[in-house]
Amino acid sequence: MPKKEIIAMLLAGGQGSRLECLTRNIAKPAVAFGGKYRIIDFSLSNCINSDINTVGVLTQYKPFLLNSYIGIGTPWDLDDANGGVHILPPFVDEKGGSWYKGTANAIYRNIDYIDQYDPEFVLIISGDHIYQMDYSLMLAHHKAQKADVTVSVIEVPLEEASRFGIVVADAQGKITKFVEKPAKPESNLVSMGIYIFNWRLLRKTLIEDEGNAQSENDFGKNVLPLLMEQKKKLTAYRFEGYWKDVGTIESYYEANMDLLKKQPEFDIFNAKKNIFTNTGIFPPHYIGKKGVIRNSLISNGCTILGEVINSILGPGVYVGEGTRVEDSILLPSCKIQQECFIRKTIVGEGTVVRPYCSIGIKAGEQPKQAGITVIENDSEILEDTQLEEGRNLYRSTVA
Amino acid sequence: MRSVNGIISCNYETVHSRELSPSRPLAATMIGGRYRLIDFALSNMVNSGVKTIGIVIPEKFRSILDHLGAGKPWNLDRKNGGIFILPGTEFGLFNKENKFAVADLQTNVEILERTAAEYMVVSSCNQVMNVSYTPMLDKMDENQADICLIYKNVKEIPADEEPGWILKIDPDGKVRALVRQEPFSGKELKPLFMDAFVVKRTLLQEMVDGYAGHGSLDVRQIIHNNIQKLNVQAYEHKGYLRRVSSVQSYYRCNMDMLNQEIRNELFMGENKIFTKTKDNPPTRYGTWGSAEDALISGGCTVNGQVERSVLFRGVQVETGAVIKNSVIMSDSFIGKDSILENVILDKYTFIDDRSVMKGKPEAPLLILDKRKKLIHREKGWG
Repeated sequence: MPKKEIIAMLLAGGQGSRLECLTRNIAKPAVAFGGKYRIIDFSLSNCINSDINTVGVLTQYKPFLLNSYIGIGTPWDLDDANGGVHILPPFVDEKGGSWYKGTANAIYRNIDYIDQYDPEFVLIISGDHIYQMDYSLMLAHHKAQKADVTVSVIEVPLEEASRFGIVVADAQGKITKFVEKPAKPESNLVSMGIYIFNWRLLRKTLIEDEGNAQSENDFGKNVLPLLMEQKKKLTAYRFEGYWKDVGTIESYYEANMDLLKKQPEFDIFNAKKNIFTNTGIFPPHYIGKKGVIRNSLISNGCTILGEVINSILGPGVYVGEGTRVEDSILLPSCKIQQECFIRKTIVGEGTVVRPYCSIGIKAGEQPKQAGITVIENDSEILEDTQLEEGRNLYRSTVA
Repeated sequence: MRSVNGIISCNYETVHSRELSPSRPLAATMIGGRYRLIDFALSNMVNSGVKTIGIVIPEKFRSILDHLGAGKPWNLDRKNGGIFILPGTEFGLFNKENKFAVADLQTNVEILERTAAEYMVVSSCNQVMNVSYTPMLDKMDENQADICLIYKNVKEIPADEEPGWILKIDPDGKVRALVRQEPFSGKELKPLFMDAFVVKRTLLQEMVDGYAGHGSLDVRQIIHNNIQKLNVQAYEHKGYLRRVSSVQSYYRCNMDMLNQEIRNELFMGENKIFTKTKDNPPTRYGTWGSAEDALISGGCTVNGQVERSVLFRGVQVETGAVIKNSVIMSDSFIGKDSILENVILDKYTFIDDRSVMKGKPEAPLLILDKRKKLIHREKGWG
C-alpha cells in the first residue's frame, strides 16, 4: 500500500437510541437528512473535499442500509484504487471476537488496517454531525503547532455546554483541561469529536488504554485524559461555522429546519464545496394544479398535489390532493394520501399515511419532545387516524 | 443466454433540429427537467440487457461526451463491454437526415466484427419513449427473423416535425415495405417506424459490406430494397412516443411531461431512465415562491411564480417573476418582476429584472444566447 500522510477513521457504529424510532432499524449515520442527504454524507464529503481519499468507516449497529449506501464510495469519488472507503465492522481473530467496546477500542481493533497505510496522522471523525469543514486547514494547524493531538473545538451557549466534552485552553490554544460532559462547565468551548493524532503516539496510547481494565476505551473519557496526564501537547483548533450534533429528535428536527431559514447559517445552496450523496435517479418533482408550496425544500421525484408549508421533502415523496403538510420532515419515498393534515411530524421512509388522517394535533401546553411526532420507516397509518403531537410511532404499534 | 450489442446513431440532423440547438447535437438536447435526449435511447438498451453500446457521434460532440463520460450512470463502465465512441462521417449537404448511414457503420465496422453477438439493437437518438427490446428479441427467435422493427400506430405526423417511415405489414405479420412519409394528418392509423430495430449482426455486416460503394445510403432504404428476401417482423409499441425534431416538438414533449400518466410511464415504472447526476441540493421555495402544474428539477430557488412550465437544474427565479408555459434550461437566472410566457430559454441565460418576453404557444420564443453567460458570471450567479 502506498504511504499516506493522513487517513480518516469515521465512527459510524453508534445506535443513536435517542433518535427513537428513526434508528430502530438503521444506523444513525444512515438517517436521511435535509431532503436528499443522509447524515453521513457530510463527513464523507468533507473528507474528499479536504483531499483525504482513504476513509475507514467503523460500523457496528444494524449496518445493512449503511453498507449498501456507502458501497465502494462512488458517489463521493472515494472509489479510489489508491485508498478509498472501507467498511470496518467488528471481526474475529484467533483469540475470538466481540463488539467494539468504545470509540478507542474500535480504532485499537483496526490498528492493522491503519498500519497498512503507514500514515503520519490519523483523523478521527464521527458520522453523525451536520457541518462542512476543511480538515486540511486543521491539519495545517496541527503541523504548525507541532502538536501531538489537535482537537477541533467550537463555542456553544454555556447552558448547552454540559452535553459535550469541555475544553479549557490557554491563549496559545494549548489545552490545559479536558472534561467530558461535566455538570458545571468552566468554558463554553466544546470538543466536536474531531481529532488529529500523530499515529505513532495514538498507536502506543491505544495499546496502553486497552491494557487498562478500568478504561471504557473511549476517546473523550479515557484517551484524551491519559494523554493530558502524560503531558503531551494537545492543542485546540477553533472551528467557526455551522456544526450540529443530531443526536436527539429535537436537534435532528432543528438542524433540518435550520435549512429553511431565510439566511441559513448552513447554506447548502452556496456551499463552497459540493455535498455529495447517493440518490436514485428520479425525474424532477411535479407540483400539481392545486399544489401550494411555501418556504420548503423539495427533492426530485416528489409529486405534490396538496399544500406544503415550511417543510422538507426527500426524494420520491407524494402529497395527495387536499392534504396540508406543515413544519414537517417527510423522509424519502413516503406517501401522504389525500385530505390529511400533517403538522410538525417526521414521517419515516416509505411510510404510507392513508386518507383523512390528522397527525400532530396540538395537545396541552408542554408536549413531549417539543411536540415533534415521529413515525417509523415503512409504517402504514390507517385511514382516518387522529394522533396527538409528541408521539413516537413504532411500526408494531400502528400496523 | 442471448448476446446482444447496441448501436445508437447520433450523426444526423432533422429538418428543423439545427434551429433548436445550433451549438449542441440533437442527442445532447436537454429534455424533461434533467435528462438529455440520448438518455432514452441508452436507458432503453441497458434496460433490455444490452451491455456493449457503440455511439455514432456527430461533429460538435463535446456536450455528448461530457454527458456520457465513461458511462457510469447507465452502468456501462464495464471491463467487459461498455460504451464505445464511434466517430461519425461527414454527411454532406443532402444526407443529413440519414439516421443510419452506411458510411457511419463502415467507418466503425469493428463494432460489428469484434464481437460474437448474435443480434444488434440499432436506434436513433431523438425519440422520447420507454421501451424494452426484449419482446422484439423474443419475436426474432420465435420467427427466426432477420430483422424486427418497432412501430407505433399514429394518426398524424405534425407538420412541424420530421418526416417518418411508414411500414406496410402483411396479415401474416411480415413487413412488405418501408416507405418514407411526409407529415400528414388523417383518420386512418398508420404504422410509423420508431427508428429502432433489432437485426442479426451478420446480416447488418453483410449490408455494410454489400453496399460498400454507397456510403450515403440509409439502412432503412436498404431494408426496403431487400424486403422480399428478408424475414422482417414488426413489433407494436402502444405507449408514449414523441420524436423531438423541431422547436415545436421539443416544446410539446416537455409539456407532455407535465401529464402524470406520461411521467409515470416514462420515469416511474420498473425500467428507469438513467442520466448523469450532479448532486444539486433540493429545490428551495421561498415564502413568495409558488408553482402550479410545474416540473422542477433539483437545485432551483423559486421565489417567483411558475406555472405550467419545466425548470431544469439550478434555475433561480427572483421575487415577482412570472414564468408561464415555458421551458427554462439549467442555471438560468430570471430577474425580479420579469415575465416569461411561451419561452424556451437556453442554459446559463441571464434575464434582467423587469424583462418581458412572450412567445406564442404554437411558436414558442427560443432564446439561445449563450453569450449572456458572461453577464451571469460577472453578477456572481455562476
